[in-house]
Amino acid sequence: MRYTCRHCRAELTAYIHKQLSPRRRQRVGHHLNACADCYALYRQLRDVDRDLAASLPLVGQPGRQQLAGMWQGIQAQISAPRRTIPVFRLRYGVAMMLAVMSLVLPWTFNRQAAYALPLPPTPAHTSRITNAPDVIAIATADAPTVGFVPTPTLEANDAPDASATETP
Amino acid sequence: MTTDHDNPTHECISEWIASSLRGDQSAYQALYEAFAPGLYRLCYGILLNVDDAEDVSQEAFVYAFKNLKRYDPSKSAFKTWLYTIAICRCRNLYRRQRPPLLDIASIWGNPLAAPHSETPEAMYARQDARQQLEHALCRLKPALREAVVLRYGHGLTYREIAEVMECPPKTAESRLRLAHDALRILLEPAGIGLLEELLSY
Repeated sequence: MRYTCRHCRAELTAYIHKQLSPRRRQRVGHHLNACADCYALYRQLRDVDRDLAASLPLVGQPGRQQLAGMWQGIQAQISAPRRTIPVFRLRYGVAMMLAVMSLVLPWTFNRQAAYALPLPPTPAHTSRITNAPDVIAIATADAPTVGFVPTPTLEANDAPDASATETP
Repeated sequence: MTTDHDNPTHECISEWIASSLRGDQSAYQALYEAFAPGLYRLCYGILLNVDDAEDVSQEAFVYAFKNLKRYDPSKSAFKTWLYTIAICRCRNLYRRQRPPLLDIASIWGNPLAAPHSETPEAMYARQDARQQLEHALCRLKPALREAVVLRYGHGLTYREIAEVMECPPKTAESRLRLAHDALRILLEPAGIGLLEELLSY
């Protein structure tokens, strides 16, 4: 496979950092000798590399007071006892939870069984509603009588207009 | 402890870890003094905020000291293990509050240590250069910024970067390449060689 500028540029950083195998290093070197564009890029990258290597170790140098303050914080946290739950308390808690669950669960099942029973019909209730004077009863031939309680009736002087509310 | 805390040897670190596990407080302190400046610089380089960097460094040390038993020297170096913990905490933090904020107060209020003979013009130029660098870092994606800080700020190899970032070495390499190329474009207005000239004054 032909070694192109694209291949060379992908390996330039590793070449500058001396992280390539001797064979790959030789290949990049040969290309740099032959290609002016790649050589110009190599020089730029090399200068940036030198700048960063010189300047980055100086960024964020901690002061003595800063380090001393951090050490105090670390000491305080290391010497603090760990918040762990004692084993006997944990066992006691688990035993209590199991006991409560063994009491509650059967009761819950019984309640669900009671809810599952069909509801008994209530004919007396519907007949009482239909006999009431202010109730409109709707009864069909097949369906049982169903009662609706109308909205509270207004007094004659409170009603805004009787004709407006009258249905045609 | 008569060893140099700036460059502790593997034997020293192993000894401190063993003493710490036995409950020796001075060994904890020795570990802290050896690794705290580097860890703080790492957190600051990624988060670009003094308070966040302090909090994360502190959290990372507390976690490391409480879980020192879990550290396996056969798997990785102590520094790598510590940096992995710190990077995870940094990620948690900037997931909660993105985009990362630049701490302007820290740039103006906490400048780099200046030589006594430095003129005000040189000081301002140096601060400006640092500001440009931090702005450029801030504009990188978090993953690329992590790779750059680990490589240039701490001199880690590609393999170590991959270990700390918990990714394959090829991914670490490609992240570094992308970051390097992005920084070439972002730092172009500062002029080639300007930062080095100013910061090595």
